[in-house]
Amino acid sequence: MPPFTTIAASVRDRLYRLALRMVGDDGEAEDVVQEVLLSGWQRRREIEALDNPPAWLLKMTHNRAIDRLRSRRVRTTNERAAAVADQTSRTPHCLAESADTLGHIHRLMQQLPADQRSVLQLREVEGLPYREIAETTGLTVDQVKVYLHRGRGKLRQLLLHEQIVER
Amino acid sequence: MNHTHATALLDRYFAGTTTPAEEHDLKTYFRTADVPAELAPYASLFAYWEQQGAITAPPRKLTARPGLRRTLLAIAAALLLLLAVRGTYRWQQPGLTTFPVAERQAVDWSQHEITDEKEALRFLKTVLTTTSDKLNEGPGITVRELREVRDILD
Repeated sequence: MPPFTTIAASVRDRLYRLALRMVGDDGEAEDVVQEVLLSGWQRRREIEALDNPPAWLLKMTHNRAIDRLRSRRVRTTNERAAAVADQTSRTPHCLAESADTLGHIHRLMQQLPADQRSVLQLREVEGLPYREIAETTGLTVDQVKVYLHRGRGKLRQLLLHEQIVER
Repeated sequence: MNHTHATALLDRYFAGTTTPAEEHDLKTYFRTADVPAELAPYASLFAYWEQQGAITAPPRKLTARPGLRRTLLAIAAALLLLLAVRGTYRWQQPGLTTFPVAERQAVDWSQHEITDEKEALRFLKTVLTTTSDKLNEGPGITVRELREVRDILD
Protein backbone atom coordinates (compact mmCIF):
# COMPACT_ATOMS: atom_id res chain seq x y z
CA MET A 1 0.00 0.00 0.00
CA PRO A 2 1.39 3.46 -0.87
CA PRO A 3 2.12 5.84 2.02
CA PHE A 4 -0.32 8.64 2.76
CA THR A 5 2.05 11.32 1.44
CA THR A 6 2.15 9.63 -1.96
CA ILE A 7 -1.64 9.26 -2.05
CA ALA A 8 -2.09 12.91 -1.05
CA ALA A 9 0.36 14.15 -3.68
CA SER A 10 -1.36 12.15 -6.43
CA VAL A 11 -4.88 13.30 -5.57
CA ARG A 12 -4.26 16.89 -4.40
CA ASP A 13 -5.09 18.57 -7.72
CA ARG A 14 -8.34 16.61 -8.01
CA LEU A 15 -9.35 17.56 -4.47
CA TYR A 16 -8.59 21.19 -5.22
CA ARG A 17 -10.60 21.20 -8.45
CA LEU A 18 -13.60 19.62 -6.72
CA ALA A 19 -13.40 22.05 -3.80
CA LEU A 20 -13.01 24.98 -6.18
CA ARG A 21 -16.00 23.85 -8.20
CA MET A 22 -18.13 23.60 -5.09
CA VAL A 23 -17.11 26.61 -3.00
CA GLY A 24 -16.25 28.86 -5.97
CA ASP A 25 -13.31 30.58 -4.30
CA ASP A 26 -9.69 29.54 -4.76
CA GLY A 27 -8.55 30.56 -1.27
CA GLU A 28 -11.41 28.75 0.35
CA ALA A 29 -10.86 25.72 -1.88
CA GLU A 30 -7.25 25.64 -0.70
CA ASP A 31 -8.44 25.74 2.91
CA VAL A 32 -10.82 22.84 2.28
CA VAL A 33 -8.04 20.73 0.75
CA GLN A 34 -5.72 21.62 3.61
CA GLU A 35 -8.33 20.57 6.17
CA VAL A 36 -9.01 17.31 4.35
CA LEU A 37 -5.34 16.41 4.07
CA LEU A 38 -4.72 17.31 7.70
CA SER A 39 -7.65 15.20 8.79
CA GLY A 40 -6.43 12.43 6.50
CA TRP A 41 -2.94 12.59 7.97
CA GLN A 42 -4.37 12.08 11.44
CA ARG A 43 -6.14 8.93 10.17
CA ARG A 44 -3.46 7.87 7.71
CA ARG A 45 -3.20 4.29 8.95
CA GLU A 46 -6.90 3.69 8.25
CA ILE A 47 -6.74 5.47 4.90
CA GLU A 48 -3.69 3.59 3.70
CA ALA A 49 -5.53 0.34 4.38
CA LEU A 50 -8.54 1.31 2.25
CA ASP A 51 -9.18 -0.16 -1.20
CA ASN A 52 -9.57 3.26 -2.78
CA PRO A 53 -7.98 6.01 -0.65
CA PRO A 54 -8.47 8.77 -3.29
CA ALA A 55 -12.24 8.11 -3.25
CA TRP A 56 -12.26 8.59 0.52
CA LEU A 57 -10.34 11.87 0.22
CA LEU A 58 -12.69 13.07 -2.54
CA LYS A 59 -15.65 12.23 -0.33
CA MET A 60 -14.11 14.16 2.57
CA THR A 61 -13.53 17.12 0.26
CA HIS A 62 -17.12 17.00 -0.96
CA ASN A 63 -18.44 16.88 2.61
CA ARG A 64 -16.20 19.72 3.80
CA ALA A 65 -17.20 21.86 0.85
CA ILE A 66 -20.89 21.17 1.58
CA ASP A 67 -20.28 22.20 5.21
CA ARG A 68 -18.76 25.45 4.00
CA LEU A 69 -21.63 26.12 1.66
CA ARG A 70 -24.09 25.49 4.47
CA SER A 71 -22.22 27.80 6.80
CA ARG A 72 -22.64 30.70 4.43
CA ARG A 73 -25.75 30.17 2.39
CA VAL A 74 -25.83 33.51 0.68
CA ARG A 75 -22.98 32.95 -1.68
CA THR A 76 -24.25 33.42 -5.18
CA THR A 77 -22.72 36.83 -5.71
CA ASN A 78 -19.26 35.77 -4.61
CA GLU A 79 -19.40 32.57 -6.62
CA ARG A 80 -20.18 34.48 -9.76
CA ALA A 81 -17.37 36.88 -9.01
CA ALA A 82 -14.98 33.94 -8.76
CA ALA A 83 -15.04 33.45 -12.49
CA VAL A 84 -12.21 31.88 -14.42
CA ALA A 85 -10.99 35.02 -16.11
CA ASP A 86 -7.42 34.43 -14.94
CA GLN A 87 -7.48 30.73 -15.84
CA THR A 88 -8.47 31.02 -19.46
CA SER A 89 -4.85 31.34 -20.55
CA ARG A 90 -4.25 27.82 -19.22
CA THR A 91 -6.58 26.14 -21.66
CA PRO A 92 -4.78 23.09 -23.04
CA HIS A 93 -6.19 23.04 -26.50
CA CYS A 94 -5.93 25.28 -29.49
CA LEU A 95 -9.58 25.96 -30.21
CA ALA A 96 -10.44 29.55 -30.88
CA GLU A 97 -12.91 30.00 -28.01
CA SER A 98 -12.72 33.35 -26.41
CA ALA A 99 -12.12 33.75 -22.71
CA ASP A 100 -15.49 35.44 -22.49
CA THR A 101 -17.30 32.34 -23.67
CA LEU A 102 -15.51 30.05 -21.20
CA GLY A 103 -16.08 32.52 -18.41
CA HIS A 104 -19.73 32.65 -19.33
CA ILE A 105 -20.03 28.87 -19.21
CA HIS A 106 -18.38 28.98 -15.81
CA ARG A 107 -20.98 31.42 -14.57
CA LEU A 108 -23.73 29.22 -15.97
CA MET A 109 -22.24 26.24 -14.14
CA GLN A 110 -22.33 28.17 -10.91
CA GLN A 111 -26.07 28.59 -11.33
CA LEU A 112 -26.58 24.83 -11.03
CA PRO A 113 -27.41 23.29 -7.64
CA ALA A 114 -24.34 22.13 -5.65
CA ASP A 115 -25.04 18.42 -6.13
CA GLN A 116 -25.41 18.74 -9.90
CA ARG A 117 -22.22 20.79 -10.02
CA SER A 118 -20.20 18.23 -8.10
CA VAL A 119 -21.58 15.31 -10.12
CA LEU A 120 -20.78 17.13 -13.38
CA GLN A 121 -17.32 18.02 -12.11
CA LEU A 122 -16.51 14.45 -11.10
CA ARG A 123 -17.80 13.03 -14.38
CA GLU A 124 -16.77 15.61 -16.98
CA VAL A 125 -13.51 16.84 -15.48
CA GLU A 126 -12.27 13.93 -13.38
CA GLY A 127 -13.78 11.21 -15.58
CA LEU A 128 -14.91 9.10 -12.62
CA PRO A 129 -17.29 6.16 -13.12
CA TYR A 130 -20.78 6.36 -11.63
CA ARG A 131 -19.88 4.10 -8.69
CA GLU A 132 -17.02 6.33 -7.54
CA ILE A 133 -19.12 9.46 -7.98
CA ALA A 134 -21.76 7.82 -5.80
CA GLU A 135 -19.15 6.99 -3.14
CA THR A 136 -17.83 10.53 -3.18
CA THR A 137 -21.13 12.36 -3.04
CA GLY A 138 -23.06 9.93 -0.87
CA LEU A 139 -25.69 9.56 -3.58
CA THR A 140 -26.87 6.28 -5.07
CA VAL A 141 -25.70 5.31 -8.55
CA ASP A 142 -29.21 5.94 -9.89
CA GLN A 143 -29.27 9.36 -8.30
CA VAL A 144 -25.89 10.13 -9.86
CA LYS A 145 -27.25 9.25 -13.29
CA VAL A 146 -30.32 11.42 -12.73
CA TYR A 147 -28.22 14.34 -11.45
CA LEU A 148 -25.85 14.04 -14.40
CA HIS A 149 -28.74 13.99 -16.84
CA ARG A 150 -30.39 16.96 -15.16
CA GLY A 151 -27.09 18.82 -14.88
CA ARG A 152 -26.23 18.41 -18.53
CA GLY A 153 -29.78 19.20 -19.57
CA LYS A 154 -29.87 22.27 -17.41
CA LEU A 155 -26.53 23.39 -18.76
CA ARG A 156 -27.76 22.95 -22.29
CA GLN A 157 -30.88 24.94 -21.46
CA LEU A 158 -28.76 27.67 -19.97
CA LEU A 159 -26.52 27.66 -23.02
CA LEU A 160 -29.57 27.91 -25.28
CA HIS A 161 -31.11 30.58 -23.11
CA GLU A 162 -27.91 32.59 -23.21
CA GLN A 163 -27.74 31.95 -26.97
CA ILE A 164 -24.28 30.46 -26.77
CA VAL A 165 -25.63 27.40 -28.55
CA GLU A 166 -28.29 27.49 -31.20
CA ARG A 167 -30.39 24.42 -31.60
CA MET B 1 -15.90 10.29 -35.96
CA ASN B 2 -18.07 11.98 -38.58
CA HIS B 3 -20.54 14.78 -38.18
CA THR B 4 -23.62 12.51 -38.06
CA HIS B 5 -22.11 10.28 -35.42
CA ALA B 6 -21.04 13.29 -33.37
CA THR B 7 -24.52 14.80 -33.53
CA ALA B 8 -26.12 11.54 -32.41
CA LEU B 9 -23.62 11.14 -29.60
CA LEU B 10 -24.16 14.71 -28.52
CA ASP B 11 -27.90 14.10 -28.14
CA ARG B 12 -27.21 11.01 -26.06
CA TYR B 13 -24.60 12.92 -24.07
CA PHE B 14 -27.15 15.52 -22.99
CA ALA B 15 -29.64 12.74 -22.29
CA GLY B 16 -27.05 11.22 -19.93
CA THR B 17 -26.87 7.88 -21.73
CA THR B 18 -23.34 7.94 -23.13
CA THR B 19 -20.62 5.66 -21.83
CA PRO B 20 -17.30 7.04 -20.57
CA ALA B 21 -15.64 5.81 -23.78
CA GLU B 22 -18.19 7.65 -25.93
CA GLU B 23 -17.76 10.79 -23.86
CA HIS B 24 -14.03 10.52 -24.36
CA ASP B 25 -14.58 10.22 -28.10
CA LEU B 26 -16.76 13.33 -28.06
CA LYS B 27 -14.11 15.30 -26.18
CA THR B 28 -11.46 14.17 -28.62
CA TYR B 29 -13.71 15.06 -31.56
CA PHE B 30 -14.34 18.59 -30.33
CA ARG B 31 -10.69 19.06 -29.47
CA THR B 32 -9.12 17.84 -32.65
CA ALA B 33 -11.66 17.58 -35.48
CA ASP B 34 -12.73 20.20 -37.95
CA VAL B 35 -16.10 20.79 -36.34
CA PRO B 36 -19.01 21.94 -38.59
CA ALA B 37 -20.60 25.29 -37.88
CA GLU B 38 -23.76 23.92 -36.26
CA LEU B 39 -21.73 21.96 -33.72
CA ALA B 40 -18.98 24.51 -33.23
CA PRO B 41 -20.63 26.26 -30.27
CA TYR B 42 -20.55 22.98 -28.30
CA ALA B 43 -16.79 23.00 -28.62
CA SER B 44 -16.75 25.76 -26.02
CA LEU B 45 -18.43 23.48 -23.53
CA PHE B 46 -15.93 20.67 -24.07
CA ALA B 47 -13.09 23.18 -24.06
CA TYR B 48 -14.40 24.33 -20.71
CA TRP B 49 -14.21 20.78 -19.29
CA GLU B 50 -10.65 20.51 -20.60
CA GLN B 51 -9.76 23.82 -19.05
CA GLN B 52 -11.18 22.83 -15.68
CA GLY B 53 -9.20 19.59 -15.80
CA ALA B 54 -5.99 21.55 -16.29
CA ILE B 55 -6.40 23.50 -13.06
CA THR B 56 -3.84 22.51 -10.45
CA ALA B 57 -3.65 23.26 -6.76
CA PRO B 58 -1.37 26.14 -5.84
CA PRO B 59 2.03 25.10 -4.49
CA ARG B 60 2.04 24.34 -0.83
CA LYS B 61 3.39 26.99 1.48
CA LEU B 62 6.34 25.68 3.47
CA THR B 63 5.27 26.67 6.94
CA ALA B 64 6.31 24.97 10.14
CA ARG B 65 3.57 23.04 11.89
CA PRO B 66 2.06 24.98 14.84
CA GLY B 67 3.15 22.32 17.36
CA LEU B 68 6.70 22.26 16.04
CA ARG B 69 6.85 26.03 16.01
CA ARG B 70 5.69 26.21 19.62
CA THR B 71 8.28 23.63 20.68
CA LEU B 72 11.09 25.47 18.92
CA LEU B 73 10.00 28.76 20.50
CA ALA B 74 9.89 27.13 23.94
CA ILE B 75 13.39 25.70 23.50
CA ALA B 76 14.72 29.05 22.30
CA ALA B 77 13.10 30.84 25.24
CA ALA B 78 14.53 28.31 27.71
CA LEU B 79 18.03 28.67 26.26
CA LEU B 80 17.75 32.45 26.40
CA LEU B 81 16.63 32.30 30.03
CA LEU B 82 19.52 29.98 30.94
CA LEU B 83 22.02 32.28 29.27
CA ALA B 84 20.54 35.30 31.07
CA VAL B 85 20.64 33.59 34.48
CA ARG B 86 24.17 32.36 33.91
CA GLY B 87 25.30 35.82 32.80
CA THR B 88 23.72 37.48 35.83
CA TYR B 89 25.26 34.91 38.19
CA ARG B 90 28.72 35.29 36.74
CA TRP B 91 28.41 39.04 36.81
CA GLN B 92 27.59 38.98 40.52
CA GLN B 93 30.48 36.68 41.45
CA PRO B 94 33.77 38.33 42.55
CA GLY B 95 36.84 37.57 40.59
CA LEU B 96 38.86 34.57 41.72
CA THR B 97 41.85 36.69 42.59
CA THR B 98 39.90 38.93 44.98
CA PHE B 99 37.82 36.26 46.69
CA PRO B 100 38.85 35.99 50.39
CA VAL B 101 39.84 32.37 50.86
CA ALA B 102 40.44 31.25 54.49
CA GLU B 103 43.71 29.56 55.14
CA ARG B 104 43.40 25.96 56.11
CA GLN B 105 44.44 25.28 59.70
CA ALA B 106 44.56 22.10 61.76
CA VAL B 107 41.93 21.88 64.54
CA ASP B 108 43.26 21.06 67.99
CA TRP B 109 40.42 18.87 69.31
CA SER B 110 42.16 18.33 72.65
CA GLN B 111 41.08 21.84 73.65
CA HIS B 112 37.40 20.77 73.45
CA GLU B 113 37.75 17.45 75.20
CA ILE B 114 35.50 17.06 78.29
CA THR B 115 37.44 15.84 81.25
CA ASP B 116 34.89 16.42 84.02
CA GLU B 117 32.64 13.42 84.67
CA LYS B 118 29.49 15.44 85.55
CA GLU B 119 29.97 17.72 82.60
CA ALA B 120 30.29 14.69 80.30
CA LEU B 121 27.08 13.21 81.74
CA ARG B 122 25.19 16.50 81.27
CA PHE B 123 26.46 16.78 77.71
CA LEU B 124 25.46 13.22 76.96
CA LYS B 125 21.94 13.79 78.34
CA THR B 126 21.54 16.90 76.24
CA VAL B 127 22.64 15.07 73.12
CA LEU B 128 20.30 12.15 73.81
CA THR B 129 17.32 14.48 74.53
CA THR B 130 17.88 16.42 71.33
CA THR B 131 18.23 13.22 69.32
CA SER B 132 15.03 11.82 70.85
CA ASP B 133 13.10 15.00 69.99
CA LYS B 134 14.33 14.95 66.41
CA LEU B 135 13.56 11.26 66.04
CA ASN B 136 9.96 11.84 67.14
CA GLU B 137 9.48 14.68 64.67
CA GLY B 138 9.55 12.37 61.62
CA PRO B 139 6.92 9.87 62.81
CA GLY B 140 4.82 12.78 64.06
CA ILE B 141 4.73 14.28 60.57
CA THR B 142 3.94 10.90 59.06
CA VAL B 143 1.08 10.26 61.50
CA ARG B 144 -0.36 13.73 60.81
CA GLU B 145 -0.25 13.26 57.06
CA LEU B 146 -1.80 9.80 57.26
CA ARG B 147 -4.60 11.31 59.32
CA GLU B 148 -5.17 13.94 56.67
CA VAL B 149 -5.30 11.27 53.96
CA ARG B 150 -7.78 9.24 55.97
CA ASP B 151 -9.96 12.35 56.45
CA ILE B 152 -9.90 12.97 52.70
CA LEU B 153 -10.78 9.35 51.93
CA ASP B 154 -13.60 9.35 54.50
